[in-house]
Amino acid sequence: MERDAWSEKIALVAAWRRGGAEGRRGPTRLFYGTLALVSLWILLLPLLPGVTATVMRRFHLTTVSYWRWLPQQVVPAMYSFGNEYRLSSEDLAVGEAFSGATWVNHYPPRLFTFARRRGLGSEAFYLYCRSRYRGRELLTKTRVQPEAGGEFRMSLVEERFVTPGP
Amino acid sequence: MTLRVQIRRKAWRIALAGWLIGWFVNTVENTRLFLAGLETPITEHWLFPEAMRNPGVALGMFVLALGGGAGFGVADVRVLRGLAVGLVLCALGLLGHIASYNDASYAAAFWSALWLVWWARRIEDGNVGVERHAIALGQGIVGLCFLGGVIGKLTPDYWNGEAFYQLYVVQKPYFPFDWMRANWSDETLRACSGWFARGVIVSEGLLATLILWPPRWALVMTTSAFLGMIGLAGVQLLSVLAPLAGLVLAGRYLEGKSADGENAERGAGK
Repeated sequence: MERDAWSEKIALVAAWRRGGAEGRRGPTRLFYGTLALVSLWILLLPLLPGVTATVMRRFHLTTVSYWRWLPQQVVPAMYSFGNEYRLSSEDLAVGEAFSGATWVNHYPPRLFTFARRRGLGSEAFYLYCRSRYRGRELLTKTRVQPEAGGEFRMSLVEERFVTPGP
Repeated sequence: MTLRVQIRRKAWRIALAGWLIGWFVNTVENTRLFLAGLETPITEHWLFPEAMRNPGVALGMFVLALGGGAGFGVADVRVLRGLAVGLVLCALGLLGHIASYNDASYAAAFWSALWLVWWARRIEDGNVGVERHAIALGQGIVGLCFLGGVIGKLTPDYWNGEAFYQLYVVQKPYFPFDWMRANWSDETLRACSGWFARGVIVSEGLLATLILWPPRWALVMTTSAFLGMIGLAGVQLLSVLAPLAGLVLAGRYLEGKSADGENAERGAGK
């Protein structure tokens, strides 16, 4: 009896036992189901290489289409992966570009897309980004072309996955 | 209006207040960058459609969402629901915009606004016990936000402290990090970063289970964790934490007041 009283203080147990008919209604079931599905996706991140690659591509903005990228954006991912970026005027091989790179908490391209862009000159330069997670790495190289009037054009030059050896 | 409806409406407003505080902090923090972005737009990118590269669109969604404050003065639950749908769309829009996709504030705002949409429909609902679901779903959302963070940190870069060393000890220009750099050896700083990182992973792991805790404990856990996070990373972190705190506070309020509402209705029914 006492154990029942204690367990019913747990939010999920209380909702299950004392939430009445609401839990069987469509929108409420859908809400729980969505939370469970998104949680499952997150939990699969370290387990399935395909999920790791998908989330890394989300971070580097290299998902195949915007409409496949956008739904992933609602999945919380604060401070995920070991991320680095480097802005350089040198056209380097992507694997050799991270000497002196700067760490960033998430989404390494944000250091260009989110930051102030004034004063970067008129010559083309490169944005190198790297994310690491449990032995896997995603490296990307983006060419940035400043235009007259302060505009910038970004084009993806290279994307490379590095996976752990056998 | 019955006492139960009043209690439910107040819980909705508590969550809305958290949402708006977070959004307002973000506005103060980011408007300068958005305005700078207007001067230096990214006109070509392989992923983002044209509208989602236009800084004016982001600025519009940013300002539009502040209109959610109307929720404090409106009684009609259909209007409240419409306002909450607007908040969901603004958060989703900014999660999909090139100038703001990286900001974790909008993921927290998106889920919190989704709860507001769901709860607005239930304010005048006669269904007994729906408060229990509001509490569980609110805590579930907070747990989800931390689950995303903790699973993404289960990698050697975080566990050995390198990421925290680089992101905080090396980069942060304010106290306590400037003081630590000035007074401690690099070896000590790296060792501390490792212990700090592992502490963060364990704390976030605990917060990820929030749906399994009583609302009173959930409030204690989130309050202490959030204060610690703000102490380390600054008040601007409220943009992420305030909408989540709003959900936990609304849940605790509902737990404390639910018995009052049920008793009043039983009394009225006699």
